[in-house]
Amino acid sequence: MIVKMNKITLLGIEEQREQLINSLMEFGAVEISNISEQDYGKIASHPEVREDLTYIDNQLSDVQSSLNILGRYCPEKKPLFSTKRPVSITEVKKIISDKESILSDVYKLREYEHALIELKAEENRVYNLYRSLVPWKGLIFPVDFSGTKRTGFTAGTIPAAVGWDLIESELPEKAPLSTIFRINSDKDQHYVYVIYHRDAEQETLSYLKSRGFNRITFGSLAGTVDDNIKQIEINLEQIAKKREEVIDKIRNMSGSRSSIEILYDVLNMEKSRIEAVEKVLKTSKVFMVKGWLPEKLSESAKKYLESKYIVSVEIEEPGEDEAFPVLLENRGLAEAGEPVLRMYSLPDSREIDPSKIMTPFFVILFGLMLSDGGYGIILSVLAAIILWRFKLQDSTRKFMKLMFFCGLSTMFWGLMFGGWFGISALVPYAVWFDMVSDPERMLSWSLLFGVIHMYAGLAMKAANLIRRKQYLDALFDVGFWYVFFTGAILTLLPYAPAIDKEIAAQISNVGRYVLAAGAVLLLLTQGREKKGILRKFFGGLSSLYNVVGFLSDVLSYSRLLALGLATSIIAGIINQMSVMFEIPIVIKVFVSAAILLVGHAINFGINVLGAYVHSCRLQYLEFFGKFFTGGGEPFSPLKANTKYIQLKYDAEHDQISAA
Amino acid sequence: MLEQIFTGQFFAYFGAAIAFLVAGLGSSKGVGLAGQTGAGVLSEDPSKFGSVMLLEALPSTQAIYGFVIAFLIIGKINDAMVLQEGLKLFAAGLPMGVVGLVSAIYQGKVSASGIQLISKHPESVGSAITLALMVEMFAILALIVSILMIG
Repeated sequence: MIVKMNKITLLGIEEQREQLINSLMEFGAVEISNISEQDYGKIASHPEVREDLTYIDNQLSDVQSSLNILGRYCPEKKPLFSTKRPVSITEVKKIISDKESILSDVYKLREYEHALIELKAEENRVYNLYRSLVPWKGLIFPVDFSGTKRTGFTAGTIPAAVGWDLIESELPEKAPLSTIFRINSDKDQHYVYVIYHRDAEQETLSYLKSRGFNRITFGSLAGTVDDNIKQIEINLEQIAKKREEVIDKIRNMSGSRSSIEILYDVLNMEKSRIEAVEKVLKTSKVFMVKGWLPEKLSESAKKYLESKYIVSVEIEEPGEDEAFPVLLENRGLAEAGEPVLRMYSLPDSREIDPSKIMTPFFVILFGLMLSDGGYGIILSVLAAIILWRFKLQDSTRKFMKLMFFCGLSTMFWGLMFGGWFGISALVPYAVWFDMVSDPERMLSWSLLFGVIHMYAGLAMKAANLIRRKQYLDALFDVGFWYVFFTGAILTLLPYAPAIDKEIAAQISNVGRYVLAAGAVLLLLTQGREKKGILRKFFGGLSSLYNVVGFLSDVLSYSRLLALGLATSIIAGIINQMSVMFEIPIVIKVFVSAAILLVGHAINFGINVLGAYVHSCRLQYLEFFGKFFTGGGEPFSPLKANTKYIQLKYDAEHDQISAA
Repeated sequence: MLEQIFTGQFFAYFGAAIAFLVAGLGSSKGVGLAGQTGAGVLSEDPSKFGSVMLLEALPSTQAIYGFVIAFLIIGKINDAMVLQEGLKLFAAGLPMGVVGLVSAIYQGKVSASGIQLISKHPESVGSAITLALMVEMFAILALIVSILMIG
C-alpha cells in the first residue's frame, strides 16, 4: 500500500527556526521540499549555508578517512549482517561536547598516516640506492676514491652484449698502461673498474667508451661499498621499526573508534539539518517551511508543533494529479516483495502498490524454478535462522522473509513433482507428476501459469483505470483484450504439447469465434483516440499486432520448465556420481559424502540465484509490462540519517511518535 | 569399415559432446568477459562485489544447460542403437550447443556493460540484470528445443 501524504506548510518566527528544524528531525516523518525564491519576490530568501556546508563536508571527510585508517591497521571483526549500535541521546550529547578532543584524535590519526606515507617514500629511496649498490659488492676501493697522484681509478658499466673476453684481450693492446677488473655481471651489463696511469687516461677511456663504457659515480657516498650496504641495511631496519611504532600508536587509538563513529553520525545529522535549512525561505523575522508528511501523522504533528512553538501549521491534501513522495507500507507476504519492487522502481504515487499481487506470484514462480523440496527446506531454514539470530536492517529483513516464503513454495512444488535432493527413489511419490520424465506436459503447464500471471497483470491495469474512474477505458483496454487473447490461446491450443488432440480441436473451433469477436471489438475501440474514421480503423488494426507480443511473453514462461528441469537433473547427476567409483567401501563413504556435499551446495547456490533473477525478470517484463508506470520519488524525510548508530531518544520523543 | 566407426552410438556421443563443448566454450568466454570488467570495477569500489558477481554469473547458465542436454543424451545411448536413432540425438545436441555459444558470448558482453552501469548507478542493478536476461531467453528456448528433440 502506498502511504497517503499531505502537504504541510509551517510559518514560524525566525528565532525559533533552529529548534523547530531540530524537532522536525527528531520527529523524522517530514520531507522538506524546496521553496522557490522567485515565488515570493524580493522579500524573502534562503538562509546562507554554503560556508557551513563546506566546513562540515571537510570535517566529515577527515573523520571518514581517520576511520578508514583505523579500519586498515586494526581491522574490526565484522558480523555477517551489520547492524547499527543503539546509542542514547545523552551519550550523543556527551560526544558533541567532547567534539574537540575527538577531532584531535582524528587529526592525530591523519598525522600518523602521513608519517607512514613519508616512511614509505624514504624506504623506497633507500631501497633503490641499495639495489644500485649491490652489484658493486666486493669493490675494495672506497666509492669516492679517484686515484693517486700518478694513477687514475674509474668505475663503470659495460653492456653485457660486449663480450668480456674481447675487452680483456683488446685493452692491453690499445692502452698498455691500464688494467681492468670485473666485479660482477648480470644479464644487462658488466660492472667493472679500471686503473690506469695518468698519462694513459685519454686512450684508456676513449677505447672503453667505444665499447659502451659508462662511468658511474656514487654521488655523495663515501667509504667502501660493503660498509655502505651495511649502513643501508641498518637504515632499512630502522625505518621498519619506526613504521611498527607508528602502527602501534594507531592500534593504541582503536579505543576511540566508537566515539569517532558517533561523531561521524553526529556530523552527518548536522549536514542533513543544514541541507534542510537551505530549502527554507526566510525574512528577517519569519520563516516558512514546506514539505510532505504521512496523512495519519498530520494531526499529531500539527498539535505537537503548535503546542511547542509559535507557529502556524497548515495541512492540505495534494491536488488531484499532484505527485507526492512514495512510501510503501505493507504487512506479511506483501512486505517481503518490497525489495524486488524497489529494485525495479517505486510505483507512481497515483497507482496501486503492486506488492500485494506481485509477491505471491514471485514466490510461486521461484518455487517452480527451484523445484526441489530438499533445497526448499535448506533455503527456508537458512532464512529462518538468519531472521531469528541476527538483528537485521529493514531491507535485509524483508529479503530474508522473502527467501523464507520462497523456500516454503519450493517445498510445495517439490512435493508436487517428487523432487527431494534429486533422489530418484522418491520421484514415484510425486503428488502431481514427474517433470523430468514428462517435460512436454510441464511445458504446457508452464505456459498456463504464464497466462494466469499476465492476466493478473492486465487485471491490475483495469484496477488502476477503475480507480481513476475510467470505466470505459478499463472495458476497452483490458476487457476486450481478455476476449481477444483468450480467443488466441484457445485457437492455438492444438499446438500445445502433451494435450488431448481431439478435445483441443473442439475447443479450438469455439476459440476461433472468440478470437474473431475480440478482434472486432478491438478494431472498433483501439483507435478511439485518433481523429477521422480511417485513422481510427487503422489504429485498431495495428493494435491487433499486440497478440504477437503477448504470445512471445507466454513462451517466455517456458523458463519455468527449463530451470526446474535443470535443478532436478543436476541433483540426480550428483547423486549418481557419488556412488560411481569402484573403491574400497571405507574410502567410498567419505568420497561420496564429499561429492554429495560439495555438489549439492553448488547446485543449490546456482539454482537459487537463477530462480531469483528469473523470477524477478518475469515480474519486471511480463507482469509489470502490462500495467506498471513506476518512477515514484522515494519519500525521504528529514531524520537522523546514521551509518553506525541508532539513536535512542528519551521519553518525550516516545510520546510524539506514539501520538 | 566406415560402418563400424560411424555407428548410431558414435553420433549420439558426438551430439552430447557438441551440446556441452560448444555451450561451455560460450559460457567460458562470456563469464570471462564479464569477470574482467567486474575486476576493474571492484578495484574502484570493492563493496559492489555482490551485484558484480550476480551479473558475472549470468552467462554461466549456458554451460549448465549444455551439461543437462549432454547428460540426457548420454542417458539415451545403448549398445543396440541404430544409425537413425544416433543421428536424431546428434541433431538434438545442436540447438543447445550452437545457440548456447553465441548467446553466452553476447550475454557476457551485456553483463560487462551492465557491470559498468552499476559502477556509476548502483541502484540500476535490476535493469542491468534484466537486460542480460533478455539474451538468456534464447538459450532457454534452445534448451527446451533440445529436450523436446531428445524426447
